[in-house]
Order: sequence, then C-alpha cells, then structure tokens
Amino acid sequence: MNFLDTLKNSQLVTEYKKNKRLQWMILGIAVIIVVSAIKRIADDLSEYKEEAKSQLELLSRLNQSAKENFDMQTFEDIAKQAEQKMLEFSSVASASVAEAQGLEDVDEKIGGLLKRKRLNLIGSDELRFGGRTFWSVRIEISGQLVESDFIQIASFFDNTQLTTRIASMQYSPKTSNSISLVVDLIFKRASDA
Amino acid sequence: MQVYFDQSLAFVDQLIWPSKQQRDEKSSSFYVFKVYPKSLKTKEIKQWADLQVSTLSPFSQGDHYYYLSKKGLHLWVTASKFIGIPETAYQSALEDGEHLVIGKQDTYRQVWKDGSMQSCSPALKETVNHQPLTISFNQPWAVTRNIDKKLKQPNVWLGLCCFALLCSLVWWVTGYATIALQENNAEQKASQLAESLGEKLDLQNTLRNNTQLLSGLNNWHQEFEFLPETFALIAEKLNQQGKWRANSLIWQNKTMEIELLSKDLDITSLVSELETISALQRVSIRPHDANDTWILEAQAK
Repeated sequence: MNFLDTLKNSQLVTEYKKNKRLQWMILGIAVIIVVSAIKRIADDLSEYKEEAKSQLELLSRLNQSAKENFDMQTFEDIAKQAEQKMLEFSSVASASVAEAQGLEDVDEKIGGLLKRKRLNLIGSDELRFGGRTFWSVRIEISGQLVESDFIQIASFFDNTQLTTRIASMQYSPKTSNSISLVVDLIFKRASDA
Repeated sequence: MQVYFDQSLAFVDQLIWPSKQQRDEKSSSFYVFKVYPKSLKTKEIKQWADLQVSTLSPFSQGDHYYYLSKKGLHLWVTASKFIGIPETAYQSALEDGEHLVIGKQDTYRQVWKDGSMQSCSPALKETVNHQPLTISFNQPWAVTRNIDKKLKQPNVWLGLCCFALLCSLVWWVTGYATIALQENNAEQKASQLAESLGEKLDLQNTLRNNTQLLSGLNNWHQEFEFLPETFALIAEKLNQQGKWRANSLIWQNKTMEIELLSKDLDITSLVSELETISALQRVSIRPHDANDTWILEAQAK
C-alpha cells in the first residue's frame, strides 16, 4: 500500500500524467512492441506447426506402410536385379577419378578406330538413385573414322551397353570422314559397392 | 466512408455507454452559430469558445451549452438553467435547407447546411403552411460522445494495446498447447507403429531404394534414346529401296538426320514404310540442294 502511494506520487508518474506528449510517445513505443510481439508469436507458432506437420507426415507414411502388403518374392527379385545391375558399373572413389577413368575407357574402346583423334572432357554430374551415388561423365570425341568402322563404334553404344549413352553425333562419311561424338559414361561410387 | 466510420463509432458508444444523456425539452433558448476565425489555432479554440460564451450570452444569471464542431462554435443560451442537453442539440441532423421542426414543447424554424445547424429560431405552429417535421433523437448532432473523448486519450489506446497483447498471448498459449498435444499424440502412435512393423519397415525401405535405383539407372540410360538402333531401323528400310549412301549423319535430341544420295528412291513409300515403325515418330524427307540427295529426318520415341 505504502509502496503504491509512493509510486503514485513519484516524479515519474506525475510527469507522465502531466505530459500528454510523453503519453503519446509511450503509446507509440507500446504499439511497436505489441506488433513485434504478435509477429514473433505468429512466426513461432508456424515454425512449431511445421515440426508437428512433419511428425504427422511420418505417422501417415507409417500407416501407409502398415497397410501395404509385402511380397517377399518381389522384394528378392528386385534386390537381385539391382545387385546384378550394380555389377555392370565400375566403381571409382571420386568425381575426378571418374573423369579420368571415363577418358581412359573411351580411349581404350574406340581410340584405336579414329585417326587424328581428340578427346575432350566436358564435365561430370553427380547423380543419386535409391540412396546410391553415381557420376555421369561427359566426353567429346572427335577425329576421322573410316566408314566401315562406323558399325563397330555404334556397337559400343547400343542399348545393351548399360554404362554408356550417346548424347549427340555428327558424322560426314563422304566428305572428310570426320566424326564428332558426345558420349556419357556412368560410374558408381566405390564406398557404395 | 466517413459516414460509416461515424456510425460504427456511434454504435460502439451506445454499446459501452447505453444510458442516454438527459435531454432538456422545456427550456427555451437562443441558438448562435459562429464560425472559427481563420487565424485561430487548434490550441486556442477552447479559450476562444469560453470568451464567446461570456460575450454572446445576454443573461447574467443564465446557463449555456456549447458544442465545438469542425466548422465553429454552436452555442445555446438560456435565461434559467438547462437540465440536460438542449433538444435542438440532441436532435438528428437534417438535410440542407430550411425546415420547420416540432419539438416536444416548442416549434423551431431551422436552417441546415452540411449536417450543422446554421440558425434556429422559435416559430408558431399556426404560421406553418407546409408539413412540419417532428423532432427525432436517433443520432444527436451536437453532443460530444463519450467515445470521442476516450479516443483522444493516449492511456485508453495504451489499454487497448495491452488488451491486444493479452489476446495474442492467450492465442500463443492455446496454439502451443494444441500443437504440442497433436505432436505428442502422433509421436506416440508413430513409435508404436514403427515397433509393430519392425523388420517390414526396413525391407520396404530397401525395396523402395532398389526400385528407385533401377528406374533411375534405366532413365539415365534411355534419356537420349539409342543411335545405333535407330540408325539400323532406318537403314533397313533404305536398303529395301535400293542403293544409297549417306553423306552425313547427325544425331541430336533423339533425332536422326541423314543426308543421303540415292538415284532410285521412292520417297512416298519410304516415308510410309518408316512411319510403320513404332519406335519412330515425326518422319520427314526433303530434297537437298544437289541432285539425287535427300535429307531424311526421324525422331526416336
């Protein structure tokens, strides 16, 4: 009680009561504080809501899994297929090793068929499929190719060759025999093997 | 806009202070309207009004009531004592022009302009030759509402601020509580489910990964289709037409473009033959600059 009285009579309160401009100023500050507090609260709640949402999503995924029938036979088939497919790819330790390996492979496979051959590394991309990492290396090959060897080169890139693909090609068998070939090679990361 | 705002203020005022102020319907009074002088500052209005009251009132023992509008001072003076607010101050505003208004006791001749009374003098009922209006008190025009007074006080606004803060705090707490409850619930259910699913979950994950792996690798491999296969399909059909040789081959965007030289080429049958191949689409052929050379284009599906 005594404290309240002292507070009421204190210089600060009397000054506040007397000075209208001070009151408006304090109101201004209060408005800023309240607005920022509301903003803060809204942000906080929405953040928390996101968290809860991910939890709910997890739950619905689990529910989905629980409902799904699981066929052991399919599982084994697919696992076997994947395992066999993985055997096709040579494993490398890093992207730069993949690039070097790619150049070497291309040179070894078709380098011998080309005259005035030039290999040009365009770059590599990291790819992730089903939790495994791969590198796709793009190489440009140019040179001169005798027409009769075209079939042989093509056979390195038909659809039984799982680790290579042709992105584009230009070949003029009549005028100069010059060929320019852009190919991609894919490698798996060694630690995944 | 202004009107709606004013009406809603009046509504809030009625809501908070429902008791009506007393109306004086008996005292007869003089009414004076005086426009603010141009040089008058906002701060000095009150002082100026007080001065006007003392100079304009003819009664030394009389009473007065005044209202300060945006345009000027509206003053009612009476010889005795007002009991409440004069009825012509309490009445609703009228349309512009001259009106005859019948009050509870007196009759007035009033001139109105832009919602404020310009003049008001007593009139005799009998002298009226057109239909007089009966006074109505729906929206007092010259009464300072409680809410107007309150809205000018910073402390009231401060109170509103605190109220808003309080509301948002309540919102925060309830929001937090509901979300926490939901999350907790979901978490419990999820862990129960995960436990009951056990190994199945891992197997499903592996299956999903393997499927993704296979389809990913397949898509990578097939992204640009296959040049050798496409070329073989086209070459086979060309061979049926007779002798030919390719001047140039271009493979790009799954499309094979062959510049070919052939003397005995039936382009119509060639194109229709090529179109029967299901792996090809958009087959086209056009003559090249040189004699007997053609440009054949086909896209792999």
